[in-house]
Order: sequence, then C-alpha cells, then structure tokens
Amino acid sequence: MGLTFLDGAAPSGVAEAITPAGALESVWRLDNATGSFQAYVAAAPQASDLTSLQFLDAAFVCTGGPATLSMPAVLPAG
Amino acid sequence: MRRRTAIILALASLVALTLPGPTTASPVILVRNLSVGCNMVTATFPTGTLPSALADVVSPPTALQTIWRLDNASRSFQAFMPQAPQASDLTSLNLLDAAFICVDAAATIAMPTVASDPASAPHLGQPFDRV
Repeated sequence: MGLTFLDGAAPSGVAEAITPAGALESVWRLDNATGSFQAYVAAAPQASDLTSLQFLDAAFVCTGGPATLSMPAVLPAG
Repeated sequence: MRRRTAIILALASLVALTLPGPTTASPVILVRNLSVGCNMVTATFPTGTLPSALADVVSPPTALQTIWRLDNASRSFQAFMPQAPQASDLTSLNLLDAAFICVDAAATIAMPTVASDPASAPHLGQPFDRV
C-alpha cells in the first residue's frame, strides 16, 4: 500500500498506527534503484535495515491477523 | 437592419470565442525515475483510473511491460499488460494503490502529486485500509 506518513517517519510509527496494537510483524519497502528490499521487523527493530519512511512510499505491511492502519489523508496538490 | 444584426451576431460570437472558459486547476505532476525491472510505486491517480492511463504516462511508452497490484483481501496479484490488455485482470486503480511498475528500459513515470491533508493529524487519520 502507499504510505502517507511524512518524510523521515520512523517505521515504528506504522506499528503505532495499527489496530490492534501488536499486529504489525514487518514492513517491507523495495529500493527501486538497487532492486533490494529493506525491512522493518517489529520484533527486532535493531536488526532492521528500513530505518526511515518517505511520503508515498509503497510498502508491504505484514500483520499477524486482520488489522487496520490509520494514516494521514491526502489532498490533490496544486 | 439585417446588416446591423449580422454585425452584432458576429461580434457576439467573437466575444464568445475569446472569453476564457471555466478555469480548472492543473494537477502538479511528479516525475519519478523507473529502473529496469519492477519498481514499487504508489499510484496517485484518482480512484477508478484505468491501468492504461499509467501506460500513457510512462516515458518512453514502449518500456512498460507490466503493472502488478496485490489484492490485499484475496492475496492474489492482478496484472495489466499493455501488449495484451484483453488478457489483463487489473482493470482499475485506486488512489494510493501500491503497484509494481515493470519496465524493460530506464524510464520515467509522471503522476499527479498529492499532499498530506493538514486537517488529519499523523497517525490519527481515518482508518485507511485493512491489511
């Protein structure tokens, strides 16, 4: 899904925006330039190489069960 | 009298032709680079946009191979292939859909930009999607 958190948001912010709390397992983002995935693993943040999110990053948000993710809404620019 | 009427009509049509029409704000376009292979991109087209619209904004247009989107509910990928649109099961895109844009040459994609709604606080917006 496309993420609308502001530039520089910590991936842990995704965990905080998910209900129920604790549902987040990992966030995966593809670095289009290198063709490699970066991951944030909620259970092991210190081992995660996804350290920052950008506005409109597309990512896989993996949860352990049904959950909802609340993000800032967007408006057309210009 | 007829000549006067004709002149008035001609002037009226001239005015109608030169008056500016209703103004519509042009969307601000963001151009992103696409690397060879599949790129994960957040689509910012309005909900209901045809995938072929993405094909129209990739430059060069011949670089586009496939667009893939994961249907979160069914956990299956849907695809659009510009070479075989009739065989494609990705028929519509939604605002903020994440999609794989696969190209066989370096390319760019131009999409409307969107901005965070200042009325919605980070992390406190309306539930957006079920994952």
